[in-house]
Amino acid sequence: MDRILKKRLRLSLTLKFFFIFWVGASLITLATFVGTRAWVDRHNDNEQYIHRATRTAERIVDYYERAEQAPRKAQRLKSTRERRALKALRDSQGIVSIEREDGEQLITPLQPTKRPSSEIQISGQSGTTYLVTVKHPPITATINRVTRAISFSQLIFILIASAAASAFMGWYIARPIRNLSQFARSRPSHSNLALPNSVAKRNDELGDLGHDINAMASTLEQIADSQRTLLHDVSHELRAPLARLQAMVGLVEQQSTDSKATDRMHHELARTDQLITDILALSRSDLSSTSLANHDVYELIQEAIDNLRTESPDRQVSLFGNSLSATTDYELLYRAVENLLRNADKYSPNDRPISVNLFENNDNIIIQIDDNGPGVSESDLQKLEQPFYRAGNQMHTDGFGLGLSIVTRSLGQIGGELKLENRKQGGLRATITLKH
Amino acid sequence: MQHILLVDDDISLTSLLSEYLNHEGFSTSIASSGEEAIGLDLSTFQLIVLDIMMPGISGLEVLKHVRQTSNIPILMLTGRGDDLDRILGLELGADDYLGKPCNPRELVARINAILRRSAPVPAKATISNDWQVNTDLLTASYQGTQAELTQAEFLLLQEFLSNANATLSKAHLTQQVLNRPLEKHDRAIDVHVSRLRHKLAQLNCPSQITALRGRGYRWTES
Repeated sequence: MDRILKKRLRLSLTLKFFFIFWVGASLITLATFVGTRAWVDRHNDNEQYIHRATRTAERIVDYYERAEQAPRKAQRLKSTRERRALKALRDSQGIVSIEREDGEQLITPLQPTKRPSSEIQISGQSGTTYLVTVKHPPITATINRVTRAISFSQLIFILIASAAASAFMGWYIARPIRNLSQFARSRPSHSNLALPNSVAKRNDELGDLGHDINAMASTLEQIADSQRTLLHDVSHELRAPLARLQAMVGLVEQQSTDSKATDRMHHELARTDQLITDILALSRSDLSSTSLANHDVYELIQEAIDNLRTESPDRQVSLFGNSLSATTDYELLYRAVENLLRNADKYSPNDRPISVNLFENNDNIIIQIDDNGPGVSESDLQKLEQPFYRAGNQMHTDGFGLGLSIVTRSLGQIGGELKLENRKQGGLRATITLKH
Repeated sequence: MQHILLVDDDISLTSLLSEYLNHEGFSTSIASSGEEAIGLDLSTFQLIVLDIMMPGISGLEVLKHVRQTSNIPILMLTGRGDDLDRILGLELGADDYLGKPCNPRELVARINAILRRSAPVPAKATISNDWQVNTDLLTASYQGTQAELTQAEFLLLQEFLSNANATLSKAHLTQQVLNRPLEKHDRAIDVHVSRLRHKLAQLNCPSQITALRGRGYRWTES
């Protein structure tokens, strides 16, 4: 449950790359756009501003020069009114001060300003030069204008363009990684699987990684192969001396009257032969290639049950379910079902029934094999699938602990899973899940 | 005295088995390779015990070769679990198989089972509608055409004809035809049935052998 939730919450590499690139690219584009625009605007603004301020300053200078020549009375009357107007004019144009060349202040700064300012020289009608200090327009005005200048459609365009670019980046990086992990997963069961093109053709670190993984898989495969071949060959070779031993025991049996000893010899020989058969089956369940076809799972189980009946005719085995078709390897699935049935038979008292349920669940085919034996201690449950592992309470029955490894390996080849659990009402439940 | 040919590349095994069989009252000859077996005059033997896994000419090839000229009973020795070899062998006309290594007692029992059923039984010509069966010569004819049947197929046909429209279990058929109990993973009778079916089709015999899941086979009279 926890794992499923985690898997659902897990962000894929593609999405991560997509978001990172998208947010990054959008911000960078936006910042560049705003920055350039602000710089250009500010430049233009300053020029215009200074131009207008210069003209205002000229009017002020003109006024002062005329006022100096005019009769005092008229000048005063006019000046009160005009002074106000000029003051408003001056303020709005950002003129801080005007200074005549001889040092007289026409307009003195009202208060010190921290804003940057420029100094311009102008000349009046009389030919006198004046120094005008003009403060720059406030920066907030520029920003307001720039943000107003970026239209909604431009913003959308930036977002879409960067989304497309980021999606491509995400895909470009994550796709080969995803293909590679898929390759690594299916490589063990398909030895001639080629490296996917999206990885193999890359001439970069990801391409190298792909080739390295491939090489590693081949090496592992060779090691595993030689090990299996050795196991297979050794088991096979052991059969010849075993056959001779059996013939010899037969000869001894013919000539002696003590049949007890030879019976025990035959029993041990049969056990050794069974071990060899199991090991061969185990190595074969790894070695054999799958041949997939449509099979009726119900009939397959029925056949396995029929076979079990030849071994223990008194055992009551019932199969519940309907005909269900699956694309699978008959031999491998049969081997798994047969081994589980035989385990159920071996590890539960003869008079207790075995029941097999076949049904579909979430598109998976489920085969449940329930026995009514003693079950298995929880600590042993996990280890049961290891070769040669036998749970503590089973030592008295014949067997070598290979059955369940044969089951899991056979199922592994056909994409099936095995789960073992103790049933509440007692006994062991073995569940095979076959993915459709 | 029954004369048996043992074909196996494991010479020490064949000599041990030969000694064992001699004690059981059989006379034996040994061939240590497929080539050697093919060169022998088979008419002097009553049965061949043939190992399938041999270097050079394999047991299956020997089997194919022998069947071209002779109907001599053949018991195959196959590795345990080699289902494919068993079925191939039976399809090529072997009479039965035995897993190797085996208890020699079992080998003798199997040899006896095959020899018993090939022993001549009192001559009796059974006539069942279109079928004429001669249990003496082990021949069967359908509407006058003689069917080329092996001994196992003949016994199988006879069993079906005398139990028409009845369901015969695999265990019953194995006991009647192969003269031994059914074993697990035992496909011998299925292969014999399939071969018989094939031969009936060649004779244009409309009778049907139906397989009944988990129960056995039924001969449906046309």
